[in-house]
Amino acid sequence: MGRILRIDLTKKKISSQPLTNEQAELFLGGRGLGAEILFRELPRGIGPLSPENKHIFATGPLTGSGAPTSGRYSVTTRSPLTGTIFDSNSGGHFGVQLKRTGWDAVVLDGRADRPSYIWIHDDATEIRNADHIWGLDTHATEDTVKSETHKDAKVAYIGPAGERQVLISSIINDKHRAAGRGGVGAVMGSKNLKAIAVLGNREPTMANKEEFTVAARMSLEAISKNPVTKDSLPNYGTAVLVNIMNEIGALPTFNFQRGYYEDADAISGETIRERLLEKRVACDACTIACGRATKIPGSDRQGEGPEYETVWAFGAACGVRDLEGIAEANYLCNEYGLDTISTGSTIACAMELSASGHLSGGPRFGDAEAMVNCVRLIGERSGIGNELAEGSLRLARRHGHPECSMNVKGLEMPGYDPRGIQGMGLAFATSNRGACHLRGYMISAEVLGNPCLVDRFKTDGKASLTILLQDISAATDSMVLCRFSQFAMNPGHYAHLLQTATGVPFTAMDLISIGERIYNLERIFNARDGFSRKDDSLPMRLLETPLPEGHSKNTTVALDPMLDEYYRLRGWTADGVPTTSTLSEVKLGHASKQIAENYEI
Amino acid sequence: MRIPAQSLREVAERLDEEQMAGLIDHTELKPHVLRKKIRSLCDEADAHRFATVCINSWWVREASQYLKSKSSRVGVASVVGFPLGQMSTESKAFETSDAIANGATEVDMVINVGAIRDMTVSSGDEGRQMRTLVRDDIGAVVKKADGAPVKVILETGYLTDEEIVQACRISEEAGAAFVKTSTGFGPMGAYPAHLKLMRDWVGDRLGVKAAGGVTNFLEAIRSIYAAANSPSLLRPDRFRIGTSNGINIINSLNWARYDGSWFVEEVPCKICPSNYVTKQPLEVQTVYVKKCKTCPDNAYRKFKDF
Repeated sequence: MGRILRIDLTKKKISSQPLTNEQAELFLGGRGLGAEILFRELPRGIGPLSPENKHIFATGPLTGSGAPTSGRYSVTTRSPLTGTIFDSNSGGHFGVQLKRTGWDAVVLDGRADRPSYIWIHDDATEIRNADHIWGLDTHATEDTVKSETHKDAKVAYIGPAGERQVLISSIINDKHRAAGRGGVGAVMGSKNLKAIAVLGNREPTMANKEEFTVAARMSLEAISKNPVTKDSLPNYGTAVLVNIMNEIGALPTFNFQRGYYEDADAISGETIRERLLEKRVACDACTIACGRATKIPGSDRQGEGPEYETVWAFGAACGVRDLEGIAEANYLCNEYGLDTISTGSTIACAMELSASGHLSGGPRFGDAEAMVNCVRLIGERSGIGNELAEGSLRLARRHGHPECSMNVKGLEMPGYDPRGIQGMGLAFATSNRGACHLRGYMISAEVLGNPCLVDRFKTDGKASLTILLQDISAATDSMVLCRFSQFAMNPGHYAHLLQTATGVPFTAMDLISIGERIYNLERIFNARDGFSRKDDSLPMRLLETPLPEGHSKNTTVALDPMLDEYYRLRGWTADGVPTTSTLSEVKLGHASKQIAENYEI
Repeated sequence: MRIPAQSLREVAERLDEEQMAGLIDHTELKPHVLRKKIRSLCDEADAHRFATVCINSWWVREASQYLKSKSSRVGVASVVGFPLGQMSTESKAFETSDAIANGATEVDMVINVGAIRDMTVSSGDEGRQMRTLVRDDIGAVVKKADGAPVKVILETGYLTDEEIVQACRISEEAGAAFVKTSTGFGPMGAYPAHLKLMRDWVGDRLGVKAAGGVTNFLEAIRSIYAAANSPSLLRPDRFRIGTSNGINIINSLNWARYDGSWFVEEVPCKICPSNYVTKQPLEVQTVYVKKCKTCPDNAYRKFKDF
């Protein structure tokens, strides 16, 4: 039986509750558990930055087990950027240490009356004063909290951006790892919570240790045999994608005005390896080691990354070829606690507004110095940074041109132009947390050929494949495994790990059903707040303006037919809302009842 | 060549991971591998129940003894005359005897590609002489294989359709057990059109082996559709896949269980050898390009990026 730690920051009340077998079997942990708690406890219309919003840190049934890529944790809340339910997860070493405290999840309520941090260790939980660290950057925060708690403690924290409730702020751990998206850092800041430090010594128990070892070995073997996980990611990191996406004409350039960047090679994974790389870095229990410890030559600036999304957002999206400038923007984001995708994309949006004369004094495409300065201003909510801190949609709306914001449901799009990758377009549009590539990473099949290559320009069959990837991803996010495991591992591997770890005879089909349940639960959470088909869309540019050049030239996203098919296969109404019978089928009858009694959808 | 999505689904439905594994020659032919890698190849083949490990002849004794020590049922396929096939018949025969003596249970030999091509461009006696030379070259290996199945690697990327057919006929005459597409070191790997052509000519009398570029379940299933699309052919003595990605194929096949949408009819040019001619000798390339121009699916070529 697991345990959930409850902390009411307003009342300074600390309590615990059991993780029920039903919660564990129907929702696993991580993202699923977060959705279950949030749906049950958070009524419609709660302001994301109000004390009533909840903030849930969770691990999964495999965290700390040593299963490949299992060293992660997830955060679930209602996002101030999108207004949707939102989970974000992060690697590094915090997740395993949280699990070792004996808690499967920590649910935060309320708002502390002054800056605070939480210290969880040896069955004790303390809420401590954080006046002296409020305002510190993330690196100094980690160092200070560790010096005050324990040198082996692992800490998750916000930087100055989260304190200032920047809507694109992140939670950082291990100085360079982020639960990056959706403004989860702002929610933590709104609760006056600077950090959570954890240290424990409880080893998770495996139901069948011998068989679990076999399952873990088979998963590791799969990872060691897949070309992406054995070669591409270890050698070049995620930025290996820069040249690949550019080659197919789907590297969004100049804020998605083009799909091909002439200077892509200057910002590629290959160039990062040549010019910035110091060494490879791995999260807990990971053999892929896609992380890059880097240093800007001739300076004392060092850190980790830039990853693909970051080098794209500050590079091609902003028309910047200065790799050192991009690395500096990346380091600053980690220090302020900012989401690199949304920060880069919002700056790119400002660049387009400036170029078209709708924003005076804004940054210009290609100006690395202005871009880096914008990151500082966003982190400090100073000058133009105060506008940019609200994300691209609010910025573009304020200046009368919402079409310049490349977002879905308010979340900035990652570095894949769906005009050249139709299924990815559908996955962006139907993601419950907005434009996220990780909900259903169709790039894997449509570009990388994992598990096999499907035609990226075709729409046939894409609804079905998107649903499969979304559902299995929801399940693995709830086991809190890294998405990259999915390049090599299949549903059978995941089920084998889970059944041997828990003793519950989960099958691969069970896992897919669990994912489907979680996806439906998130969907009705959003639906009761008014989200529907109108929100399952893409920026008009992607639907109406063909790409002007490259190997995806003359294409737009044919979204509507895919969306109709998607809703039909999901068992949702034409407006994108799960029907009562669908909810019953996925064992969410209770949620359906709650909706029927309290809401009109 | 067109392969309907439904046909691919039907092939996939008939296959499970274990059956697929039994069709795979788990291959490692790079020149720089270490003993540790060969042992690990054997361990993997044993664990997944692949048909054989396919290795260079130097490693045959090592692999054979190691597999024997594990009481494994996995066979050892030794390549011979690899990868160019341009050595004397005597040297191929000796390499075969040596491999068999060291424990090889199967032999994958490279045909004398140049002689096959000479045969088709020469007329009269010269052509007949070349034909005899190729047949004797294979025959000598078959003889020294001492009953172990011999697979003849045609290196189809160097050959026209007519030459592939001739090579199949000669291989059969010489007593080979299989014809095999490629070495993986030549101008192209296994394409469905070549596999189908080979199967059409050898019927159910010989096996066909797809080798080169088969990396995931979809490519494996396309190969099966082209060369082993009936229960009587879908068995290890009639069809094989030679690949260093066997584990990835087995792992990726699991995904096919949960959705039929992986299987779509591919744009024919994408799986056609005529679309991948850049590494071919010019005169062979010319034949492929000419074939492309008269192909009923040529309309796809109008779209540069189809």
